[in-house]
Amino acid sequence: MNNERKIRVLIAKVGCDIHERGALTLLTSLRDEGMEVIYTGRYQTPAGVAHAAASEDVDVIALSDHTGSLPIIAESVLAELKKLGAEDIKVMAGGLLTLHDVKDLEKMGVTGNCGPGTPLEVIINHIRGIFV
Amino acid sequence: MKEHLNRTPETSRIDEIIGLIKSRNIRGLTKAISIVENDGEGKEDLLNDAFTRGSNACITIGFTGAPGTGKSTLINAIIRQYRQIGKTVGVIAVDPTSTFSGGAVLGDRIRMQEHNTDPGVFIRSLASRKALGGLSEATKFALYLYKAFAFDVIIVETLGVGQDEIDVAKYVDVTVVLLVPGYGDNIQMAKAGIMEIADIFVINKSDRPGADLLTNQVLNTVHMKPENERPPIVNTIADKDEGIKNLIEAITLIRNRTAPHWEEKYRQRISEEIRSSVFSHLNREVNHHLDEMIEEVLRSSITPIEASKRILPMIGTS
Ligand SMILES: Nc1nc2c(ncn2[C@@H]2O[C@H](COP(=O)(O)OP(=O)(O)OP(=O)(O)O)[C@@H](O)[C@H]2O)c(=O)[nH]1
Ligand SMILES: [Mg+2]
Repeated sequence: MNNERKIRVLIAKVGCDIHERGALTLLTSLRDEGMEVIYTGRYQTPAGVAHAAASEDVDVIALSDHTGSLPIIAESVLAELKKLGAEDIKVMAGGLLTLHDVKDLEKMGVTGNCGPGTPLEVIINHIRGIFV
Repeated sequence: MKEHLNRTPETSRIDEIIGLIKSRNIRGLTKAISIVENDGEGKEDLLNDAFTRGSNACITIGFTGAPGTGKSTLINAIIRQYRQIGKTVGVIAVDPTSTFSGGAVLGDRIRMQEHNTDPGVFIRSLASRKALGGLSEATKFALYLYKAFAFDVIIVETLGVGQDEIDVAKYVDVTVVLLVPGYGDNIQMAKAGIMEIADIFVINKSDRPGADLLTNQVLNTVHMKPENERPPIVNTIADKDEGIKNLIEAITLIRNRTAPHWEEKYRQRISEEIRSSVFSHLNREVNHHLDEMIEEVLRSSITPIEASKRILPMIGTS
């Protein structure tokens, strides 16, 4: 049977970040890993991302951003998830990240934060690791 | 024994989910879909609840057509119209599962982003998994869960590539088949029997050259049918919001067909439902005995037909 549980991931971009390559690469890589992946497209709002994630029953939101705003974005997405009663959805972040950002993110419970040049396997392993 | 089983944590979890669905909370709906899709524990309870409470008061519309014909763009435009008149809309968007990895990129939602924060719109993407781009069992069950959630309008997007998605027509009230000019696939669809299931033909991308030609071709095809069964043809330019009002009118006309038409359709649907439920039980039971029988056939002590006759009396006894 093909009906084993699939990991579902929402790749999300919030605000005015034009860089899409990372998100698109991740999209196809995760599919090739057997996951079901949804991409929000660019220029989304935190509320839009949270609503999409809550509707799609994803396991993880992978936030992608290259403007240095990941902690702010993550904080607002988490707040919106809470409003929807969807705190069970995990959030991770990738893109432009300082060490300071990573610390801030981890304080919010956002783990698996991947700076520039993180190998895809690391991201994939992090996502798989959530479910073991 | 039963008493004990009834008090498992799963049962209370299912009750909680049903409670959430009753209070029209989308987390309940989407969790229920996941359980049903994964064949998880409590699936039957969730579906029984949906069958009991779901009504045919809503309108269910299926959109099918070759890849890239503009199904998601058109659905996006239609949602906009229905929202303007205050109707709530639920969308089930199915994309194919990659046969290599079992994963999927679910790309329909991205065309419907403008409705992301509208509480009156719920969109859930599904991968076709077992079914080849068609209406998987999960899609069909999701449809019943949506009905129980009582959206005014329920829309299903499926890829019209093969025999399988002809199924969609059995489970929705109105089937819309999309065609676009300059696509060899139109003929493929005619072969696959997609043309027969259409209640409405949409010629999308009517801004493209060849739209008139295609419209005439389809007109010729539908003229072979008796007048009262001829599906209307609607020209649209989905990304420019053109032709959408006409399409909604055509949908409404079909929805307003007389009671006998619907009675017949609902009967077919129920019959299909009972059959498929029997078959899935059978499948499970047959699997119990399969390995043993395969060995026997391999050893040439019996034929596959004889093996099947040996399995039949064992069904329902284990
Ligand atoms: N010129 C033109 N382009 C259109 C029209 N409708 C949609 N498109 C474009 O066609 C492309 C495919 O649109 P989608 O809505 O994703 O098509 P789809 O049938 O949902 O595609 P799949 O789900 O991948 O099978 C997009 O680039 C749309 O902008 C139209 O009426 N005219
Ligand atoms: Mg689509």
